[in-house]
Amino acid sequence: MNPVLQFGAEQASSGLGALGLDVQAFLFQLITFVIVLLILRKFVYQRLVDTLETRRKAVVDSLDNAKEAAVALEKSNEKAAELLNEAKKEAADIVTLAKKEASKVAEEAEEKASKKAEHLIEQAEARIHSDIAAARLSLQSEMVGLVAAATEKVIEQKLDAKQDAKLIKEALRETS
Amino acid sequence: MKASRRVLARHIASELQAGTSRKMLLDGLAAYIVTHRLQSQLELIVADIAANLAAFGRVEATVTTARPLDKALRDELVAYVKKIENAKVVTLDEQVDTSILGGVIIEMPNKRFDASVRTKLKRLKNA
Repeated sequence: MNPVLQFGAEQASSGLGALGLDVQAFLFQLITFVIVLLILRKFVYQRLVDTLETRRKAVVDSLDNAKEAAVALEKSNEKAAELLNEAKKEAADIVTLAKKEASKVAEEAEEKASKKAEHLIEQAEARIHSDIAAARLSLQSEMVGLVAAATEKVIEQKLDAKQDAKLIKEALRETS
Repeated sequence: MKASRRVLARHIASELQAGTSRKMLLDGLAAYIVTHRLQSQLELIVADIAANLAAFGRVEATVTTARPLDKALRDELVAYVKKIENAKVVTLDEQVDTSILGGVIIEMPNKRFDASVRTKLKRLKNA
């Protein structure tokens, strides 16, 4: 007989057995438990622990990444705000400059237009003066022509031999 | 042989100065001009003869007036030409042209004096 079984039989009839505990079944269950425990430890627990560890690390990494992302986001927001402020300032500067330029261009255009207008007025005045002078000259020439024609007619009718001789003598005297 | 215009003019002027007949000289000159076909140079030849005669103190002046000249005026014109051209003898070729209205035009070998009323009026118009 198996000494273990024998010990069990002895015990059953003695102290433990007296308590109603089946030692043999207990040992069997214990051994089975140990075997199952070993198998689980060998094939299941390690993988489960690894998986959990991996998940834990992933979660921790995710948290770290999230924190970093949050910090980066905050920095980005700050930088964006800074850039926005700079952009606003630059835009304001550009607008101010553009206004100044526009004002300057408008002033220059006004001045140019004014000068051109003055020049046109001067030209017109000069032309008017020139036209007046030409008209005066033409009128003068016409008047002289009329006077000469009238004089010619008068001389034809009035200049007699005596006056003509006097005219000739005066001309000779003037040049000799 | 064909003489130059200047030589011909000098010869005619010398002959006139020497007292050769004017008609005979002019006939000879006309024949010479026709023979040598110098008709186109007639005015120049006459001007050269006049210039040569002036050099001898003999001036021929053309006087244009609106009316015929009387003796007093003619004498005055002769005296004027003598003085201007420094001439000893002056011959006037008198022309009447009513279109000059009045006054006188004197054409001398080297000068032209225009004191006509027509020219004065023309100057007035152009002034």
